[in-house]
Amino acid sequence: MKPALFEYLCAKDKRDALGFLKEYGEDAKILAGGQSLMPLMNMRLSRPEYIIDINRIPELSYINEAEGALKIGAMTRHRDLETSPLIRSRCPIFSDAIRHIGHVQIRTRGTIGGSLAHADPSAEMPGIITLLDGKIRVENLDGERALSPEEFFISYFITSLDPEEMIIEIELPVMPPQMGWSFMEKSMREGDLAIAGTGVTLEIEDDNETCMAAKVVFIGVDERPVRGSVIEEYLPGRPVNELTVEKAGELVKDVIDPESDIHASAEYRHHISKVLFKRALMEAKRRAEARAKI
Amino acid sequence: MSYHDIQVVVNGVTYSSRVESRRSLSDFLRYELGFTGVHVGCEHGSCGACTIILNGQISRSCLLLAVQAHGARILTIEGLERNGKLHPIQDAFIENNAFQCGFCTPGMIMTSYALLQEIPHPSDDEIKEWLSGNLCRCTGYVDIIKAIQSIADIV
Repeated sequence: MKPALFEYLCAKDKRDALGFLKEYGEDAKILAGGQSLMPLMNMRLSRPEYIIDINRIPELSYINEAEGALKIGAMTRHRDLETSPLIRSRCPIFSDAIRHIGHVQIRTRGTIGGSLAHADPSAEMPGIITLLDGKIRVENLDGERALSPEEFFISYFITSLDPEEMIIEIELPVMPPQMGWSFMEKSMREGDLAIAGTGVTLEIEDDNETCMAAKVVFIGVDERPVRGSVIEEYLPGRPVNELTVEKAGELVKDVIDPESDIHASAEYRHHISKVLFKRALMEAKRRAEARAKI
Repeated sequence: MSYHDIQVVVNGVTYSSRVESRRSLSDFLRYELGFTGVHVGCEHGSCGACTIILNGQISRSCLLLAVQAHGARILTIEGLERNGKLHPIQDAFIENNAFQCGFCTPGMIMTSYALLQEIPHPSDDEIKEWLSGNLCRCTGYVDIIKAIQSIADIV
């Protein structure tokens, strides 16, 4: 299980990397953390002629806060995101979701940009960025553009990135202080890819259980992460109690369209998505109430 | 295809070599440098047998290219002993019967080493979480966890 032959190019800065992409585009792959690409290459499922290593470009790795948003460099390692106090305080659901990514050894190398570019619909990063309506900034040698998750994720392992484009930065909104949240996923073993998962953010009125706003995402149940729009429309104005959680749970089957594969049947994914969603919604509510007390 | 000149520090010693682009770090360490303590199990990042420490970070060497390690500091299982004396983690594994065939063992020990650097007194749950990236077909993991707990105070 060795990769097919390829030419290795080491980019010394961003411009260098974009230059390589312009020249070799279709025949090249960016090597970031390598935790998804190298397995594919070792199994020869991916055979790029050129590998562009961007691990020696420190300017691509950062976690900043500006204008009510977190700005994260594409090469920021999962482990650094996981242990970042800034992310833990400004966007705790993101912090939590990262813990579910693989294992520590994967998180020390894996990057947020790589995870998004890989676009596995059962992955946590695409799910969270879809949930939070983040922005994905990409560049090529001639310019840049910012994409919404909707625009970015097309299908299984397919994004709208041009061959000459590279993800440079991810922007996530800072979560309001009183926002409740929950992220849950089901995998067969610790660290395996999710069979199904869900993320929920919730804002409720002070002093009562009435929902003001909710966002819901499901992973592993479609060709890309799916927002539960009908649920997001159903909840506002309603108290978040056992009855509405039950009713909201009934809507999950209309939102997702899972496949059967060797890991799980479509029926199981339907079932587990509903169970996880109901639990996540209750946990988000508890967190919203706790945060309101601070 | 292309070849690249690299220099790496492995277990405190500097090595220079010329490697093919696609040479994995695990193969480079085993074949070019003779560190056969680095085991190759799955070559796709699932089993953890190839676990090493690269620039202070625990990593899967089968998913790194040798050329990427140019200028890096690497620690393999061979680097844990000092002057013929085994590292306390290695002693603990022996005392607690924490290996049988030994194939997963270097990876287990490197992960344990990294864990104890970061969390000197890990809970059972923390140990299990860290070890979840290292697969063992023989032991059932219980004695490995015991071994790590036994030296949590010492290391």
